This record gives sequence, C-alpha cells and structure tokens, in this order.
Amino acid sequence: MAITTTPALPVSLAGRVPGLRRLRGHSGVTWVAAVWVLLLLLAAVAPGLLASDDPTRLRPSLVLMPPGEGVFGTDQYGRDLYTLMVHGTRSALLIGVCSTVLGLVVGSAIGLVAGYAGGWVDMLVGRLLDVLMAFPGILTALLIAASLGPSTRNLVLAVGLALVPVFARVARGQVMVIRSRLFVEAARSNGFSAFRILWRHVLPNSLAPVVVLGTINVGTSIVLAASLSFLGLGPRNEVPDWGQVLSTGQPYMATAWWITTIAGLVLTLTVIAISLLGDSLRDRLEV
Amino acid sequence: MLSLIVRRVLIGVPTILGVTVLLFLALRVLPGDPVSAVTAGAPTTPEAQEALRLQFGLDQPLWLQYLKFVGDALTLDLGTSYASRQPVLTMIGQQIGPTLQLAVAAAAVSAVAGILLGTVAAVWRNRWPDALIRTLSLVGTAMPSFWVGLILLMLFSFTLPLFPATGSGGVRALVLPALALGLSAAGTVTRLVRNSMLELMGETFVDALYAKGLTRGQVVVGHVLRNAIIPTVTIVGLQLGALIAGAVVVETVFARRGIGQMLVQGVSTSDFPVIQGVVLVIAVLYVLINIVVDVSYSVIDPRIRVAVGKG
Repeated sequence: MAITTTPALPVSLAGRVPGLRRLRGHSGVTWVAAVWVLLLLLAAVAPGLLASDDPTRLRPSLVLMPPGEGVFGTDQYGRDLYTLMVHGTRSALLIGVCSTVLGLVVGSAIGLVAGYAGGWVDMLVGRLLDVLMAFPGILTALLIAASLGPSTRNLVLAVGLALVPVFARVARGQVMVIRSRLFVEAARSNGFSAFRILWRHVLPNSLAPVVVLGTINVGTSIVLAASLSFLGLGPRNEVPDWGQVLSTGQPYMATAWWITTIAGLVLTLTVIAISLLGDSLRDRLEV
Repeated sequence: MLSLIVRRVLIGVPTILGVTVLLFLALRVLPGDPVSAVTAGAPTTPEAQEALRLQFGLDQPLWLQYLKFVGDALTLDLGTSYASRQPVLTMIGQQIGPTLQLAVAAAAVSAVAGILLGTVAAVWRNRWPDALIRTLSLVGTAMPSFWVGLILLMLFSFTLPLFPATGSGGVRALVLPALALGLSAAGTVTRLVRNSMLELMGETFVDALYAKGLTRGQVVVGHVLRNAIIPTVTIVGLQLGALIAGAVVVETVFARRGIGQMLVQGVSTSDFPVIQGVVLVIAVLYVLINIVVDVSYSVIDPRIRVAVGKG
C-alpha cells in the first residue's frame, strides 16, 4: 500500500505516535501547556489522586470562605473549591472532547462524501453548509440544547452538531485537493470501489488539517458548553462541572469573587493550553 | 457596483430561506412542547390544551405552517408571542435598539483595540511589546465573553463603583458589556492587523517610501496601516454579525434589554414565534452586514471593484 503514504500524510499520523522527544524543539510555553493538559488528564482519570476529599461534601459551617480555607476557598454550600474544580475536570473535558469528536466525525463524513462525489451532491451540500455557516454556532447550540433539555448528553449533542459545518467545510476543501491527486486516480483505475478509495486513500490523506482543527476546537467546545451552562442549559445534577461552578457562583459574585474568578481562570488557561498544543501539532504536521 | 449588490442579495435570499427551513424543522422535530410550556404551573384540561394548539396553528401540517410563516414574514408579520400575546415584530422593535448599540460598540472596541495593539506589535516585532500583545490576544480569544463580563462587573462595578452593574440606559451602562463582548473579538483583529502590516512592511513600496525620506511614523501610519485597513474592515464587519449573536450571553450577564434576552426567554418557554422571529432577524442582519462589507471594501479598494467587474 505504498500509495497511501504520500507526503501529504506525515509519518507521525500514519502509525507512530509522536514521541515526547519531538517536543524538545518547541518553546518552553508549549511545555507548560503540555504539563497543564497532562495534569488535567490526570484530574479527569483519577481525581482522587489530586484531591482526596469528597467534592460533594457540604460544610454549612464553611460557606463562602475565601482562598486560604483550602487552596481556592469554598463555595456557597461550603464545598471545597479546589476539590470541586479537580473533580469537575472530567465532565468539562468529556463534554469538550465528545462534542468535538461528534462534530469531527459527522462533519468529515459529510465533507468527504460531498467533496468526493462532486456534481449536484456537492453543490447541494455546499449551499447547505453556507447556510449553516451563516448562522452563528452559539445560536445553533442554544436552540438544540434548549429543545433537548438540560443534561450532559444533550449539551454534547448541541455543541457537537453546531460544529458539524465547520469540520465539513474543512474536510470538503481538503478532499477536493486530494481527489485529483495521482494516487487516487491510480486507485480508481485499479477498479476499487468508491468506498474503499474514500476510506483507504482519501480519508487518511485529508485528516491532518481536520485533526489540528479538532484539537484546537476542544477548547472552544468547552467554552461553548460553559456558556450554555451559564444560560441555564447545562446539566443539573450532582456531578461537579466547571461550567456549573462558574454559573452557580455568579449570584455570590459581590461577596465571593473567588468562585467565578478561579473557575473562569482554569477554563481560560485550559483553552489557551489546548490551542497552543494544537498550534504545535499544526507546525509538526505542516498543515 | 449595482450588479455586485444585486448578485450578493441574490445569494443572500436562499441563505435566509435555508435558515428559516432548518430552524422551522429543528423547532418542530426536536422535543419541547410550547403548549405545556405556556400552561406550565397552571391547572389545565386536555380540552384547553387542544384549544391552545388550535389557536397557535400547531395542528396544521408542517409545510402549511412553514408557508404561512414565510408568507406572513414577507408582509412583516412575525406572528404573536405565545407567552406575552404581543406581536413579535413589535417586541423585536422595542428590544433591538439596545442589542444593536451593544454590538456596534463592541465592534468599535474590537476595531480600535485591535488596530492599536496590532500596529504596536508589528512595529516592535519580536521585542517585548510584541510578545506581550501576542500573549494578550491569545488570552483574549480564549476567555469566554460571559466570564470577562463577570470579571469586569466585579472590578468596575462592585469593587470600584464606576459603572452600573445592570440596566440598559445610557452610555455608562454600555461600557462594560461592550468591553466584555468586544475584547474577545479584539484578539482576532490584533493578530490580523499585525500579520498584514508585517507582510506589507516587506514590500518594495515601503522601501521606496523610506528612500524618499519619510520617517518611520509617516510610513507606518500613512501607508502601511492604510493598506492594512481593508482586511481589517472585512473582519470587523464579519465580527459584527457574530457579536449580535454573542449579545445573547452578554445581555444575560448584565441583565440588559435586547433581542438576546428575548431569545433566551423564548427558548426557555418554547415560544416558537419569538424564537423564529429573533433568529430570522439575526440571520437577515448577518446577511445584510456581509453584503455591506463586500460592497464597502470594493469602495475602499478600487482594485477589488475592477476584479469583480471583470469576473
């Protein structure tokens, strides 16, 4: 299958996981970002390691205590803010990653098929994408989240579907370049089915920009989900979540600045770290 | 020029129609029942619910409902709100002013901050002002606008009582919301201005200007910045549409009046006519803004006009 590994696909994507050694060439900032994201992953997988307390433990005697009580202070129920943020990482990252994956998979599939098929299919899809792109993502997500009702699953659906046109557009553009390449023509003259050509030849070679966009987008998704949470469309359950901390802290802002400030800071730092890593991925994949 | 405008409008119409179809389908296919939302809390009988359904026209087939909506919209009738029983167009008329003020003020914040910071970063390229501004623009883009709003509220309304925390009257009430909405957009503009200025500074006409004996300030402000304004106008114009949508969140933070608040309210009560009306108005504004941007930069830069005319 020599024809599948054309220069358009960097070696690292074809199989070898880019090792940490490759990071050495990057600036210190990228390192800090990588450490931050690793910490978040640790917090998501094993929150107990970083904060052993029970995040839902209510302590009526310690309501709205400033930082100093614990690391970050406490919230309106006396819950420890640091513990809450550590345990809320999983939900925030899950929402960000799942919605991005949803948008990426559905969007790429649409873009792939439209770009490869060409003709009236592509025209129709192209126009539809224009329509969707002409519509701000936050409104799409708001409408979907509101119709489905507040829950984590629906938040993922809303944010993910709002992302579909973005990914479809990038994938379609990429496919239109790839489809005219010699190796695709070779595969076609070999009599391979359209599905096989798409799956084995066009898709792997169109992935790089989509993956980069996806990486950067995880941060955007987290923010979008937090905004929807803030508008009252987030999950309303016992599971701790950054967006939830941020919005429930709002009424206490005048007296307890630390709740919204710290939750928002963590959110912002995460978005920055993810987008820095995405940029460095872009550099490495040369897209 | 006229043919350019006509062509843009002809592309815009199907876009708006597409938005209405998708919106209409989404509202009716997804769960969420306006009748039970309207009667929420109040005791009601199945007969009363059925009567409401009839009154709202929800018993009719989907395509008929859609045609009626589009037909009415063409005669500037956006229906009646389920909740307030007021004509939606009247409600939007009362609410759209504050939203437009907010969006335009935010776009101004974005443009002014972006052009200033972008120019400084380009002039002091790779030195500390550049590094600082690039970091700031990254942070600005990453921060959620509602959080910026909350922080501004805490700093300049609670801690230092300089601006009112809520309300929509007067210029003072506009400052913090416009900053919250505009600062995150400014990051994009900063990067764009910086990059296009750096690109221009490498061109031969800049060397010629220096050779002519102009000072650095004259070259940067009088020539490089002038040329960098065109892409900036485009991006700020395009941002304006997104800022109108972003107002949904910021209006909630500051409890401002506006169509964003109206939409959030409508969404929470499944008030279909309100949702449809507001979204339609936003889509129309979005398309109109795009047309104005396209046309305006063909005015600013005659080369674009010539290219389009030939094309």
